Amino acid sequence: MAEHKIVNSFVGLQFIYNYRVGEYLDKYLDGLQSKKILGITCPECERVLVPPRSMCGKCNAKTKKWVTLKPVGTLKNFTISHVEIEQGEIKDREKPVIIGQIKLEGADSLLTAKIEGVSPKEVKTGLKVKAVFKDTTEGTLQDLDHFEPVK
Amino acid sequence: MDRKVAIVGYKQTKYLEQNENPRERMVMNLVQSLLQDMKITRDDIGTFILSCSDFQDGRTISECFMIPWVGAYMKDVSKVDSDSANAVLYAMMRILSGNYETALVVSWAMGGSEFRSPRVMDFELDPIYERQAKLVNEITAAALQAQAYMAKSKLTEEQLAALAVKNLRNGARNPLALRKKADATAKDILSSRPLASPLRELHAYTPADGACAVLLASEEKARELTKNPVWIKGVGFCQDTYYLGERDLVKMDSLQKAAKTAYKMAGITDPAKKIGVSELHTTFVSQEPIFAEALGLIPKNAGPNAVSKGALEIEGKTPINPSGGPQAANPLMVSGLIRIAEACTQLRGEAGEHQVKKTPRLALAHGQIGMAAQHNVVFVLGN
Amino acid sequence: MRNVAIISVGYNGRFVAKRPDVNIPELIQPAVANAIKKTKLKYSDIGVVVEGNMPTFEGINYPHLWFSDHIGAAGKPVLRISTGGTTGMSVFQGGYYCVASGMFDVAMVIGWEKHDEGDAQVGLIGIVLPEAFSMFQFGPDMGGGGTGMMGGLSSTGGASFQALSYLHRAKGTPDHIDKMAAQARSNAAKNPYAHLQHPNCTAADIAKTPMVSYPLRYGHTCPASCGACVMLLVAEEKVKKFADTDRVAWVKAVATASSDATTGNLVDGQINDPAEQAICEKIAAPKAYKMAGIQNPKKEIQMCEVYDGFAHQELMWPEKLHLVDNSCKAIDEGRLAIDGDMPVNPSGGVVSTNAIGASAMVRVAEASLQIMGMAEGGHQVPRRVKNALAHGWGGLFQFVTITILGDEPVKR
Repeated sequence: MAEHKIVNSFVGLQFIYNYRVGEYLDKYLDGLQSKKILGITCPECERVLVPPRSMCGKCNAKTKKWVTLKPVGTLKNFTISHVEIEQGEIKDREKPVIIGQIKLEGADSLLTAKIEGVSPKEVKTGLKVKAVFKDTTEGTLQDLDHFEPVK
Repeated sequence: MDRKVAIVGYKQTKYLEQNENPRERMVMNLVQSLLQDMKITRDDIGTFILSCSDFQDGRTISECFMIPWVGAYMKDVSKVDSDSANAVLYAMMRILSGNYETALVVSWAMGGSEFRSPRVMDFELDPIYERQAKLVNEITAAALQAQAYMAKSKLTEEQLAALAVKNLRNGARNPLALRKKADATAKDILSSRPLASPLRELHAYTPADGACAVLLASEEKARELTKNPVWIKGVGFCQDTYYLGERDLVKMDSLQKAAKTAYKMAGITDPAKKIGVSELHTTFVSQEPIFAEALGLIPKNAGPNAVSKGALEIEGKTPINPSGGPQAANPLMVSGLIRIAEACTQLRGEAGEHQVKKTPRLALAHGQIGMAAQHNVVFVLGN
Repeated sequence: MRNVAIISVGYNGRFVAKRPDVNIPELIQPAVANAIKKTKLKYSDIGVVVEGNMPTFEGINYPHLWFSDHIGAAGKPVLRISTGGTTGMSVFQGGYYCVASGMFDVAMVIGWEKHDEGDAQVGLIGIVLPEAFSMFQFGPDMGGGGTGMMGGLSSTGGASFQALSYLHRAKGTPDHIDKMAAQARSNAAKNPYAHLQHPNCTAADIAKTPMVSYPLRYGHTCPASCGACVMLLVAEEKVKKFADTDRVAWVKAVATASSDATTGNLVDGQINDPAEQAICEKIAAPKAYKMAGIQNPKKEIQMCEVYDGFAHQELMWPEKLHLVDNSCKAIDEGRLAIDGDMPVNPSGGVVSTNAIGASAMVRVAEASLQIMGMAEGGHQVPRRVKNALAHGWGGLFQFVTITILGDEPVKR
């Protein structure tokens, strides 16, 4: 089979998208900046959702009533991630990262976050964890840096 | 619904890291050979339903460049922007309406050579939260799902590896498959590159170039076109809520609901007994027992038992992915269509080396999109 | 075949250039709520949701996964259809087939775009550049939109070929396009949901705008809008149960056809220019009229909504749809106005409001509102609309979709 040539063409286009986060996530990010985790309540099923959004899909109701959640919770599920995806390339991480699903006290959904302060070999579900914020917060999701075991 | 719809013909390309032809020629050759097999021309096709993605093809409104190559020039065309099993569903509904007698579904992807599948999957994440948080991706989502299942059912890493071995061996019996290894062992799997626990590289799908075409027809037309039509007995589809943290990743509500609808339509009450073979769109092998449970093919938490007894093997009681499944080759959104074509092959007893032992009367084909299979489509096919 | 009725239309609000106050799901959600509000339906009655937009414009693959909860789709069957400019009507027709097939009794269809988050021109260049690659592989195409656009002229460049060719065929002048654009902007001022509203706009106002690509001026082009359109489709047996109005719009016909991207095809020995549109004139339109049982469209159809990304298309399409013999003459005679004998785009059309994924659906929505007698703000056609036609085009002048609505169902 003849192998045909490949033509490469550099396309100097930059796709820049300016995504608006909307009212609810905006408030959540403000909360993170002041080192608080905010959830929102569905008036019908009374679930407290983190991250917050405008609608509860279960009840098709507009969510109302903000709650400030305690920054502590339980690790319900986790994976030890050895790779990260960069522009579609699967690259090895320098060291494995624990990505956990955390049930915050008072919340009904699980929050996905990094877990530190415990080795991948020792981490277990059921672990009590607390939120650790960056020292200087900027109103981004990265303000909530990770969770670590409650001592 | 007083009409019945059948699959009367199907054709797949070989799945390759790089097809020798550009996308256009690959698709044209595929459609032409299907039409020749069926002894029809493109003028006999009532409607064309394409399934392709601008993100996969790297251009806006990609299908507009493919119209002549699928034979749809000056014809009736629409495009489903989702797993291609959804396109079969749409084609079926168009025939059921009585407006069309035949429909050709075509899907393609150059997932091996032209785009990076994980990149396309990353575009599925919402831009304002998950893309910014950089924690959830196709790997971590599937890993969290696998962990939750293993914690609940006590499936071991060795059993998970056995599933991957099964698919690599099945792939070796499928001439179209890309990744295959007849002598694969659990050791191969467990020594492959770790991605996110418990998942490793050989648990994952294999990106590939490839295309698939399926021809559907109304009952009357089907009997004209073929001696052995495969009937669409039941179909169901459903989408779950978005955030992983609000979903039961093991129970899989959306898959359960889709299956329930499909079984009801097909008049099946005991899928475990009635379904002879299943082709599931599993991005990672860990999804096989999870899906099988949600589909009612095996009892709850029976995954470990099914694996140890070899029930999911080609020769087993509940064969899953005899083709090797997406672990053998996965041109992303084409996968659902491949599953349907493979299920038809099994029902017609044409699968050759990967034919399940007892030619089944009913087969199940499944398609999905989204992180940890948020959106699911289930087809029950029979002859 | 089951008859299908449109029982409700919902917009999120007025279509505008920028919506910095909401994210994408929040933009769409009010349109869903508004559509449902006008019926006796509950969310749980909706059997299936069909959704679509132009995926690369916002850079999100399968966006319906994300706003599952916002559109009442969590735990429901959802189908996503996307076909370029025709997306909105392809989605609508998808919803139609969901019901007509007997699979579902109620379908909700959603078309949307939030242009302020992405860059539509960059997105559109994305369809032009591969054309250049295609040329390397298969040789240059035979003229028409593709080549023109590839030459760096963007979509307006491609459309300018079409406009010139159309004017030549119709023996019109660029003044006719000015007139048409002025009518569109004035009509838009009577539509509370339209984006570019210019009360009593005149041809002279349009003629003052800068030339983009002869004969198309800035005033002939469409804006990039943010907005969503939602419609609820119901099977004939359920209309009484769910509709909150006596006047619903019945779907009499749906049709679609596609040519290829280079607006010509050597394989079949046909070369056509972008103003020829045989897919519409010779394939889709006759098919739609046959399905609707319409023998004389000029007499039997009382208004149309055509997809006019550029003002000359508002002249061209009614001709291709067999509704007007010569639009240039017709606009001179005032026959295309809201109170004329073939009102074209009383809503102001796409040239005044273009949220691309919604635009072709808005054509159906506006046609249905005219039949229901519910067009707000003075753009309701004064005489009773018994049959209305909605049209969409997309791709590189190569897709066409047509929907014909009526005030009573077709007896089948």
